Amino acid sequence: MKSLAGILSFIMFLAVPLCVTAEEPPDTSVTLSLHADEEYVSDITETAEEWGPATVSLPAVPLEEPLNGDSGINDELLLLSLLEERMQDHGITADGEGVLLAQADSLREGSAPEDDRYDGGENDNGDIENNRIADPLYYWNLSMYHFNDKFYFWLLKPVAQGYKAIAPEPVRIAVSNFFQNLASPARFVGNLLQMKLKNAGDELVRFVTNSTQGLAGFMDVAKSHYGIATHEEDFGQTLGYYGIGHGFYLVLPVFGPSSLRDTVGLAADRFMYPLSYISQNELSFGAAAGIFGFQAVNRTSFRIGDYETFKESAITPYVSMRDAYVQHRKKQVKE
Amino acid sequence: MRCLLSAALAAMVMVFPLAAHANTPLATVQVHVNSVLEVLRDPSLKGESKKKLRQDRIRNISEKMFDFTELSRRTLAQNWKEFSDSQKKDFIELYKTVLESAYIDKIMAYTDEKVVFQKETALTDKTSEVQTAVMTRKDEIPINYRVIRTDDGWRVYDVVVEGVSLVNNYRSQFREILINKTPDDLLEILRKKAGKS
Repeated sequence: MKSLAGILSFIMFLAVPLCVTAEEPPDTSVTLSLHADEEYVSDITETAEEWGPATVSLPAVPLEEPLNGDSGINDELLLLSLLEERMQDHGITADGEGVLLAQADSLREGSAPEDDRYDGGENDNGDIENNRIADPLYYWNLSMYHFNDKFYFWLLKPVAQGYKAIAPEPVRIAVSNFFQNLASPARFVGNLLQMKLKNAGDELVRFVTNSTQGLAGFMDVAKSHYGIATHEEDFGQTLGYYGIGHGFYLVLPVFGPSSLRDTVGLAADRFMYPLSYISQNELSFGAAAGIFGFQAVNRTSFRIGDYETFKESAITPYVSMRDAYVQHRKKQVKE
Repeated sequence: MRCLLSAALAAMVMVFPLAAHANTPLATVQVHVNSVLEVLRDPSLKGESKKKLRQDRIRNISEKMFDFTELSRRTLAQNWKEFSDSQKKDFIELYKTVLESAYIDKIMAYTDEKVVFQKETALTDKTSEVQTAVMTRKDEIPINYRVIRTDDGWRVYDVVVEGVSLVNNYRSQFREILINKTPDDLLEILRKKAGKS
């Protein structure tokens, strides 16, 4: 187990510089991050050559006419043209269309209410939702996206395939139940904080039942014998429940797509994870990473092919994944 | 009399598949999904040599199941009106090809999973959402179909898997592309994607 963790981290360190160099932004590029509200356009951030952003502060510009709330596209064009004007005034040039493109979402999120209603003239708004998220760390996120992609194809997938070949499905399901059970306290707290008392009670009963009758969680007897299903509520969802937005999109290495809010939630959930309370003497960092790696391999063994289908289906996989993340989390928060 | 009866019976038999579609949104989706499952479980269609045949059958069903025009229109949303009629036509065809080739292998990988048809919820007076779940041995995957009433029954215009709407997802991708590319550029991108697979 320990050596597996060692190999894992070694390959990670090898892969990081590889991926970063592959996705370095063009030297002369200027990244714009525009924060717009109803009346002002301000804040232009410049990133040149280096990754560390240097900020060029431009004075806030009053808009000549207020943003027209019901046409997002027009607002965006208005803001873009204003932005270009401001840039010219200050001698900033943007090259590379990807730059403006990358930032268009952050711009939109701050500006106009969503209206993607198609030109059909009916008030059919059932499936039109605002799923936009700010992406100011676009280059970081893009390189992490590529890193995770390689991580999956070069490491996670082959290991999971090998594991799947030797471990029969019932064993893998038992392992999945075990880890699922360990995360139960975090779900209990999540349900409690959202005043979902019945669900919190369910989680408590599940944890107790599965930890004992379910043989330390390997069997989900609470579900199979008592019909008590799990209620997925992590801390990120709890924050969302109380109206806290994503902040911005953040792709984490290995963990995958996340956001500022959900990363905070992820850290908070670790506090409620029993393994976090085993002392360093008994569970070294390497062993803990190994357990995490094993969990990931087990999880992946059920989903080989899903990521491939996702990539195959997407026109721009990065954008597709970001959108899917926001949509999926939105549903989880709503439930 | 007898002649009339058999004529009526024959007419009924011919009409029956149509009638099954025209029912409720839930029944419509159920009929289509079950016919896909039948293709997948049909012993006479098993094996690598019959793969092409299975694909064709599934494509035929998807043709009847989906309203690709509606799906395309909703995906492009505001950008729909930027497309000329012939561009729209090309877009619908290419988008369909891209979707089919991306998902057909995934669909064909389904074997013993059970599909549960849960309920339908009206979205508007013309559209409805049908909730289903695919039960694997480990967990269940919620898949919702959004359908619209057309002249020939309910047609699917969006599929929502675990909260992720297909139409919304492609919309965000096409929207970013169309910010500084023309409809023709987008069609070219789709053409490449469709041709490759």
